[in-house]
Amino acid sequence: MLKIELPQNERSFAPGGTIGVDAHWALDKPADRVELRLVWNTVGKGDRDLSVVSTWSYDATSMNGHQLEEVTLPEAPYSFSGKLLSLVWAFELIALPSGESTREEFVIAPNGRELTLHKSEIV
Amino acid sequence: MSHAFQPARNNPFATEHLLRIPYLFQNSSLDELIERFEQMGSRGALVGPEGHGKTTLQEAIAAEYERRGVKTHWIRVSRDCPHLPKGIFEQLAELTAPEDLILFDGVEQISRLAWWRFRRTLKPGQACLITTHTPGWFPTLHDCVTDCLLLREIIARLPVSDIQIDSAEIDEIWLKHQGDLRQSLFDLYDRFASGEFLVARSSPLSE
Repeated sequence: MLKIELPQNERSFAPGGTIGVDAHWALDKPADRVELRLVWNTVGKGDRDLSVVSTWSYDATSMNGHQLEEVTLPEAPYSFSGKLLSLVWAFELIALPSGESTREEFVIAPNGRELTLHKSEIV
Repeated sequence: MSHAFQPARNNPFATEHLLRIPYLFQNSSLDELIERFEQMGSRGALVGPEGHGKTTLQEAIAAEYERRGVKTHWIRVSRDCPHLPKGIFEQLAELTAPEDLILFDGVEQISRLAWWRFRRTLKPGQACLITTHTPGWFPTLHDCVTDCLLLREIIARLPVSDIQIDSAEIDEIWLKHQGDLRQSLFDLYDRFASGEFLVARSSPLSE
């Protein structure tokens, strides 16, 4: 089991803000290490872009553990969505080498609201 | 019918969802194809028009060989990028072993002279699987064909349980794109993005 906890289950943050991210792991089989990654990726029509912005690596000598990280969020890019493309921020927690992983998506944008590249409201 | 704008991250036809769908075998299995490939001397072609699953099948076969410990080497050529990488023949000669598998995607884009050079560069007994729109390059291992049922099955595997498109509409889209699944799915993406479909989600997409 891999779990990422964000403060008060909040999913929207201002650019440059600092948050506490709690990474938990309870593995079925031994791992070399567990990595927490701050990433953004695009979702939509066509090729997918992915950028790993920061990585925190932990020894997984114990199959159970947790680590609280104080993370300063980047100033950019902002989370946005249009018809063709969305930019999504996420924390990913990955056990290596098995590749078992979990992911928590969130928004980085002014006022914590994803930018909408469309004239009407997102439903 | 809703016509509200749908953001890309909620679109079930987004690339990230499509990439999770494996090649769907219709009248054969992966093991049968690999067995036939080896009976053919491990030189063969996956043949079919664009958007008929050739590359997806080639990747599935490559993954199975890798799982069996075989080293694979890829050459990819497309209409957008029709040129062979510089120094490819030297690299093939120097960096590959006779027991490796060479995968060439888009052979029909290169000249017959380049094909002749490529074949001469392959080592005796070296396995090579190509994709091509037209037969006649290597013996055909598999003709990639599609039908409306296949498109329906792909849609059924997307993260929606109750996408409200009727079968006739799916068939119409498949026909419109002459069996090209990639274009059919792009079409469905655009229709969803424009709010043409009402969709009940089976699993939560990103909010």
